[in-house]
Amino acid sequence: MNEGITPLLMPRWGVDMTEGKVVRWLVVEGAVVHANTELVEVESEKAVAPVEAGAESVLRRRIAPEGVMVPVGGLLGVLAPNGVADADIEAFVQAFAAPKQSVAAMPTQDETVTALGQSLRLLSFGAGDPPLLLAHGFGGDRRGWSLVQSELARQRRVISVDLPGHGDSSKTIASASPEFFRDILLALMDALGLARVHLVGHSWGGVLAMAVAEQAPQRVASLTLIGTAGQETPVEANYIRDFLDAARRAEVKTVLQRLFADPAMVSREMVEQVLRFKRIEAADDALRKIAVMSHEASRRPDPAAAPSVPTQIIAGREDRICPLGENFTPPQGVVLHLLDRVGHMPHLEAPAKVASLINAHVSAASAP
Amino acid sequence: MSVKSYRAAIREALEHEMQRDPDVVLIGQDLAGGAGGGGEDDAWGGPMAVTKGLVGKFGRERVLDTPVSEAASIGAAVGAAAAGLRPVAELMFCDFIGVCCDQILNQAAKYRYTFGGQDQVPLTIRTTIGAGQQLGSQHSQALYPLFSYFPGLKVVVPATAYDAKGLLATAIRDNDPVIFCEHRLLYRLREDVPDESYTIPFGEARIVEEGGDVTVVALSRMVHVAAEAVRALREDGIDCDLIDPRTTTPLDTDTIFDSVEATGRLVIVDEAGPRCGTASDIAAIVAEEMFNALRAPIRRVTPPYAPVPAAPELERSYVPDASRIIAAVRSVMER
Repeated sequence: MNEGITPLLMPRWGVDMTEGKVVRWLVVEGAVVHANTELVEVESEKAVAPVEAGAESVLRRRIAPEGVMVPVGGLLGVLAPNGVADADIEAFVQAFAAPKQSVAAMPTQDETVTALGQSLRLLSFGAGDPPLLLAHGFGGDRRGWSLVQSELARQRRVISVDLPGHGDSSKTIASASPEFFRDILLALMDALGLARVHLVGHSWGGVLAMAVAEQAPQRVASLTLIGTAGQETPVEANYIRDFLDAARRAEVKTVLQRLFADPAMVSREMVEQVLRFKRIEAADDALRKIAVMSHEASRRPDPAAAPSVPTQIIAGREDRICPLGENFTPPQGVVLHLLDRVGHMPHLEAPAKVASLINAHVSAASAP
Repeated sequence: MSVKSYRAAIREALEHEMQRDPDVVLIGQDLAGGAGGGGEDDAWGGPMAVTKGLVGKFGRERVLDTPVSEAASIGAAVGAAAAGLRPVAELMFCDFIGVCCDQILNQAAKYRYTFGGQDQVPLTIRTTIGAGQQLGSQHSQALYPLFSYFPGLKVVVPATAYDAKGLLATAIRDNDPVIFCEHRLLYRLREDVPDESYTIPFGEARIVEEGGDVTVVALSRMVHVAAEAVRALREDGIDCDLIDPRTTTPLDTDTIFDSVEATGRLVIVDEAGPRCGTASDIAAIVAEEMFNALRAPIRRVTPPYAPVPAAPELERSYVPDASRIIAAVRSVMER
């Protein structure tokens, strides 16, 4: 009798998020909604963002009133086609208890794995294989995925890794070449016993993800490239230099603001985190080597080249770091999602949207 | 990254710098243990147990015990620095500067200037400051304003384990004499600190909290007391910027100015006394440069103009606490 009834749940946008505030409803009861219809605005400590429907349906009930705090996994509303009787929906609501395994209690695992002699720190989230493997950009780390990782983990295991030279992984890197980092990702999959993964790469991490897909297409179930540079879309030349040279708080803040469509997204905490990372001498050394090697790499995979695995590209229309050229057209079979009012950091600027795009892409690639 | 105490973070910086540069040597009392006789090696790790383990790693050639004479030990460190080593001397209590003033204030601080920049004294003096342990008036002072009075010295007052490690590395690599003031009540403070070597530049304040209503500047242990006050005030709807300058020389006036420009209200919390102290210094600079931005008189929260008492009740009322900071913030909000 519950066929077609879908609970609308409080999402989890960060590892630390345990509850969220219902800011306001954007859709009235009875409205027909599409997959990406924004239903309700939710505020966490880190973001205010809309929750999307996820599938075509009808918003039958708004359960959580505006202004109240709801725990992660708690019931916000109910979606069901018009064919479902009101009584059934009422019964569903009555029977709904906070899920036994609430998202808040979803197993997360911080672990350290050794691959090619480098110690790698990972955060695993959720269950279900083949997992998503998330590769951060130049100067980033696994925590950069915190706003999308738990949404992604609703469907499968999600693994975010600190690449060598970054985060809490080895800062002294054995090599700075893209091939080395490609091999690190493959060796990490070996170490975790993963035959295949859905790969997601941001910026430089996207370049590495493309290299993995080119080297071992059979091991990549799908590819999502976010704000990724290619031959058609070179990295803005001064950004890397300015990022490396920024030594003081004010300088770092100014540089980071170039990543976002809205400079106000650069918080004091973000600046502090980047400063703390950059001030570690071995990390600074690694970044400088990576910058040189990436710049000198004469040939790199290009998102404009026909892919060997199902590929989507997510990019911000206001990306000033890796702007998609005026003439950029994705090759046959590759879907390009250009997000308005988003810069180089879609997974931080539009986390709900990016999570749903990745989930949809992964589902489509997993369909028989 | 792992959780480390302020004490362990300082020890790690010493160890990393000794590994990095063979010219770095430690000079002080009881650092190696067993000085002057057949005593036990590394018995104490220095009077504050900060250097424990280092003599075992680097040997008595680089971890040097001295007699109980600050005039001799600090003098030897100044000379060693002038002659090309990069010594880290330990002055057990900053109060003891009385017996080695000439070595620090007239020799180390003046050397580069006197010789027209042709010579330098790459010396770090680690010392301890602060009241709160009933050690009496001769072992409880916070004398960093005295050091900041003298051009030629740099002065560091770390409030956290993370800052202590990075600032000490910067101090040791600096080519000028640096006075590094460790607050004894902070030694057990623990937080996440990277295991790798890193440096924090001098003259860059830490913005501990962002609020916008009132600027609160606090130093050393007072950062933690002020943070408690700021949290309590936030409950009442008063949001403070909390700024920790981290070094009193050089002083990051830009960060303080930017904040005061926005808030128009300034409260300075200092464990040093009210006369000729850091709070007075910052108040004067802001009054001179930012007068038009101010919407209320600057308030200082300091101990009274008196020696530090030894009796616990008196000492407690002597050192600024959160309630005095809260009262000062409220008073500038009324204007």
